[in-house]
Amino acid sequence: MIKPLTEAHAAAKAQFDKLAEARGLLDKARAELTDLGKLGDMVTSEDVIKGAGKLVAAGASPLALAKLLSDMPTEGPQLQAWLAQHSTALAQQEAQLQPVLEAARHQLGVTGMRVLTAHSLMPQLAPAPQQPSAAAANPLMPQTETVGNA
Amino acid sequence: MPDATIPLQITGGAAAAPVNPLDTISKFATIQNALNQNQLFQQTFAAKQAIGQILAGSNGIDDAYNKITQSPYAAFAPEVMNSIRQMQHLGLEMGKIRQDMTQSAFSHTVKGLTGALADPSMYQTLVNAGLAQADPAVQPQLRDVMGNISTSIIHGLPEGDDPASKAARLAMIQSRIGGILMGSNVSPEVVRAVTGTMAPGVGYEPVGPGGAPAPVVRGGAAAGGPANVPLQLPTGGGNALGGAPLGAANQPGTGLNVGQQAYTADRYKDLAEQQRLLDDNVRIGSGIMQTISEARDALGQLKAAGGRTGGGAQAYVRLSQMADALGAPSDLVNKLALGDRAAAQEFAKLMVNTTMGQIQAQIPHGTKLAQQEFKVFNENNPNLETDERAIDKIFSFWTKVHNRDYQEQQRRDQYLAQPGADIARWPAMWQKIMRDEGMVIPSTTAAGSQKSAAPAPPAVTHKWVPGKGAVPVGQE
Repeated sequence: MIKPLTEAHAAAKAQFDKLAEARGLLDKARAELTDLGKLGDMVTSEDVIKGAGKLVAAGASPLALAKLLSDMPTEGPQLQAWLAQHSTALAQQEAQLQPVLEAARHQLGVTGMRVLTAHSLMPQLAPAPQQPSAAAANPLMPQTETVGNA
Repeated sequence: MPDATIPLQITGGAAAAPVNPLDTISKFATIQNALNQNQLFQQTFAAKQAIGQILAGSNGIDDAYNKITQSPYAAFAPEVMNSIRQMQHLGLEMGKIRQDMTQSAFSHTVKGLTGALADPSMYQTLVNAGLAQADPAVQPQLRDVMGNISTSIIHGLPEGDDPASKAARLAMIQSRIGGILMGSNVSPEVVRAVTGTMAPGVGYEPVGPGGAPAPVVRGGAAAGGPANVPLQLPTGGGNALGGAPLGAANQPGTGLNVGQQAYTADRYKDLAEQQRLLDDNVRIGSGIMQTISEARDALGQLKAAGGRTGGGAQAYVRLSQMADALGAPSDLVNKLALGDRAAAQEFAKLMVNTTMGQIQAQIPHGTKLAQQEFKVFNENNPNLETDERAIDKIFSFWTKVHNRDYQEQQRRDQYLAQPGADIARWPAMWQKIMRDEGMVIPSTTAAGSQKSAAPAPPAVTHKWVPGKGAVPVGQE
């Protein structure tokens, strides 16, 4: 009973970590876009490339960012509009990610509590923290390994 | 067409056993009941999971409640909120209970979460304490799980030190904890079991033959609690029913049954009321003692002026009042008022005060006296019409009563200051003190069988003079 619960918790942890990482990346993209937005129509393609470099350093895929920058206008109001368009797209991604992340976060806590509950109810099924010596082995416990080796 | 009134007498071979229609219905009802229960369980389980998610995404418990009431699971809202409130309450209770430090990761986590549910500002402290305590006893992988649960609670909380951000943060911590506990089916009963408030104990309940008290085991693993909590047996010195001593009644696992607990609760309630009445009596008695002191002075002044109390004195005072109103000389007014009109009036006024004090001390709180009743009470208290010797005796009696109350109050407080003192034992102890010190001497003779060994009240050394303050007696 403990093993499936532990696996479920591990899966929930992996999903949460991935989604939290994605959320972190979106947060950084948001911060960069906000900084670029402060420049108004003075923003240049160099500014955008500099910001993209920071995102790559933070863990964003260089390929994805290269694709993103491929249709970037060079400067002026077009670049400003392009940034606004990406800001809107980012907001949509944030809105999509948020409930999924919330569910994963909740699932992480719930599966964690279930693991702890199972360990509390059936401590004898949990792996022992230390390997007991052969002399101290409980003869009443199932000797599965011994049987298997024999 | 066959005549419907003629019976066809078709039996169909061997006579079949008569079918009891009620038996069939009973079986059907049993099956239907089981199906309903199963359905209810499934619905409840699904609702709890869904409500857990709603809670987790809410900005506080109240917000969650509103969302739940607008969801398809509105019918479960009261139960859910009740569970959360109970768990909050348990968190508060746990703050008062010292627990064994060698419990499981689950126990530490539940304690931390319910504690934070009650007071989210303590979240980090409780989590750190739980992790620190769990460290030596808990396996590393469970420690990681505890950390993951903590992450699921604090991840993505709003930042900022402004009050609004702080309040939002605390509210979200509460709703997330509530969501996790609800989603993982940790009920208030489980919390009680884990935190030791439902430690297994042996009590005595009237379940034996003929309703005789028989031992029963409550709490522990049978109630969903950990099996490693030691069984608590009633210790020596228990009462006749096998329960623990009354003084330990509010401790968990003392083995008191429901009836004993109710008796004990009532007993302590009565004692608290008795304690309050004694304190009130001493306070009122102090006021009466002060008035008596003044009244004795007024009486002394009256006597020094050649006056007296006793039969007809009141009439003289009234006469002097009329003479005063008619403009008679003050000498005449004073003579009519048995020597000193001012002293006589002061005495009369002071006796009204003592009457009020005696009423407060003798009549149950909240009782209202009719005007006629007050008149009767007043006439039977010392007044100008009362014989001087009677006044003296009544004053002495009041002083003794006050002294006894004062002694009991002081001795009670001294006793309660001792470690292990139990207020439930005080009434009997006080009776013993009164006998040992001669305040009460049981005797078969009717009169004069009692004497007061209580020390005299502190002598009056100062008097309060308006404009001068406390002035030594004789110098006012």
